[in-house]
Amino acid sequence: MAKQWWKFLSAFLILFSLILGFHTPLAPGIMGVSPDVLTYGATSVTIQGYNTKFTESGNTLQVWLVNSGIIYCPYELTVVDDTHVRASFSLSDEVGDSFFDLFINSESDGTIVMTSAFIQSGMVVGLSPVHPEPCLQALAPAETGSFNFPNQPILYESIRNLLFHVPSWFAMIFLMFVSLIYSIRYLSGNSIAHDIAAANAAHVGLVFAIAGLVTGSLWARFTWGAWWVSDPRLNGAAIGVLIYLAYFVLRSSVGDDEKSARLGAVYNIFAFVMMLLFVMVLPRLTDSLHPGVGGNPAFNKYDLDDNLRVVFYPAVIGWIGMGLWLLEVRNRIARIELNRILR
Amino acid sequence: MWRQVQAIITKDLRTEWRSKHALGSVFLYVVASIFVAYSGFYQIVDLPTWNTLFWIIVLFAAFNASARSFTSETSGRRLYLYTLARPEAVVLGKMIYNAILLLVMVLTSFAVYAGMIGTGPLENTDPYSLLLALTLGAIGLAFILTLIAALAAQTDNNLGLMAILGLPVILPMLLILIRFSKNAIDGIAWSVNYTYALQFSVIMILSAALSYILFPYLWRE
Amino acid sequence: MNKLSNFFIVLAVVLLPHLAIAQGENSMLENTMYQSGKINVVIGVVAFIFIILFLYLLSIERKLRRIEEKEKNNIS
Repeated sequence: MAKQWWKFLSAFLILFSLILGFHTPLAPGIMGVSPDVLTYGATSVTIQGYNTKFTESGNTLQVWLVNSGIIYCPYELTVVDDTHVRASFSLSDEVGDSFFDLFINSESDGTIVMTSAFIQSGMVVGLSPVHPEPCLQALAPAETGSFNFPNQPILYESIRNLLFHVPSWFAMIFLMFVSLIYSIRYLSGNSIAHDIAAANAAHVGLVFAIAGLVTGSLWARFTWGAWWVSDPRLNGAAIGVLIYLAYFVLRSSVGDDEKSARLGAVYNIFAFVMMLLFVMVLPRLTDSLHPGVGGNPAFNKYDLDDNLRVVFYPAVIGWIGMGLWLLEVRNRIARIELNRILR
Repeated sequence: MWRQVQAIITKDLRTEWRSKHALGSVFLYVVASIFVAYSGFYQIVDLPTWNTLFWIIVLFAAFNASARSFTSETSGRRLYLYTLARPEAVVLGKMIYNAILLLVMVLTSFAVYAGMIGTGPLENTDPYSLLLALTLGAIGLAFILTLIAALAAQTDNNLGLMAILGLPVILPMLLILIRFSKNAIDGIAWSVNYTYALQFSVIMILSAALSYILFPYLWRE
Repeated sequence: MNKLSNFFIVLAVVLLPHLAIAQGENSMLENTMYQSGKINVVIGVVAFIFIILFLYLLSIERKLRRIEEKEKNNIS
């Protein structure tokens, strides 16, 4: 039992990420407006908030629109309930831009934004929009104490998937790396146990890759609108899976054990480098729906704020530990089998 | 060692010249597939299609050509070669020989392809970048496919396994190559396009280095 | 036999969400997924990860059982 602590640790970390990942509330945000068209003259709109507490903020609630730097305030504001507020705007006939950004500030929620919330209709978009009188009062400061996840448009609650979908890719890459190490050790030492370990690591890695593909596909369907989108990172992941499937085809198509181990090890080393190129390097060169592209490492530009990070890194470590555990079990089974054959 | 490399290249080139087996069959393959494309499309005006179709035809021809590089020798002759030359020399020799073979193949098939499918998209071509794309493409494909061919040659199902093993690992290179040559044909300035050439060269050198390191393990039997 | 059934398990896992949606775009699944801030997408993702892990453990166990049976035959 001496060297079992990491299994407990990884199980604990996964539990930690599950509890915090589901328990942490989403930051307040604006979910939608209806109607989303503003016309010349008076327009009443209903704004739907998410996790907001409009009734608590009372008179301090402020709603305003920004259009090419000009601020418009509503002439009437009614709080319906915690998540609904009605605002009536009276707008001039010339504006500087077709789209209006919506801002809400209150004591309980801080400032929340919905960019391009409204589109104009029947107005003139010109260079000399009418400037209304300044109307904003002093803003309530943003609430900082609470622990919550960022509220992103389109994603909403599904931003939590970052804690479950992405770690499976990390675990896959890590296990493929373990497999690479075993393959290198096989080539330098010729011990059949190393070859079996390499194959097992690739096998567990492949399971995590399939988990990543399936969950990614599900997530993509309800955020980007299709089960499969032509995205370089997604295609790279699929190619990575193909490469390792080819590795298993190669191993099983050679009858001789020693030969299949040797060929497999060589292909594994070659394939890992190519897969790394495909998964890590190529997506940065082209536009991708995934964050962190355009020459930057995925980490810094992930909209990974500190609160998400606190849960994300433990989840990654936990799932890697889980993968290593599965690998260990498979290796032990393989060792028994090997000993039996040798007897 | 360099003399061993030279000897292998000249030996391969000479046997090739005598039988004209590989070059002839690859050339026939290319012409046949271009003719199939021609009877389907007649002329292609759209540049992305034109460019991609060309590289697909070249890719499969390259698979065919390099699959032969290790199986053309009987096992007895391979054993003889094994006693004579170092494995590093063998892989370098085969890589360079394959590069020469594919270079000839790519250039001729480009001429045939342009002749049959139409030169419409070629109007604004930057000829030097295009030539560079063709040359780099041939060499890069040859480098990767040599190792894959060596792997596949040791199994029973040579050509089938070659496609399974080769296609996924060659894709990163192929994607960059297609983009590079499309930009070259489009006449996009070298100052923009050179990044693709650079990336391609990095992958090419990486795969050559990997082949050089890994091949000796395949060779010992 | 074992390899083949593994293959079908993988195929089923990959195809399952696709089959579920095949009945029509505005199906019940769609409505469930979009409501309350798409939280059900997260539940689906976690569920799939657990299902895949469960199936994998099953396959490992089957491997172990085969070895156990062979051991038993050897001893007796």
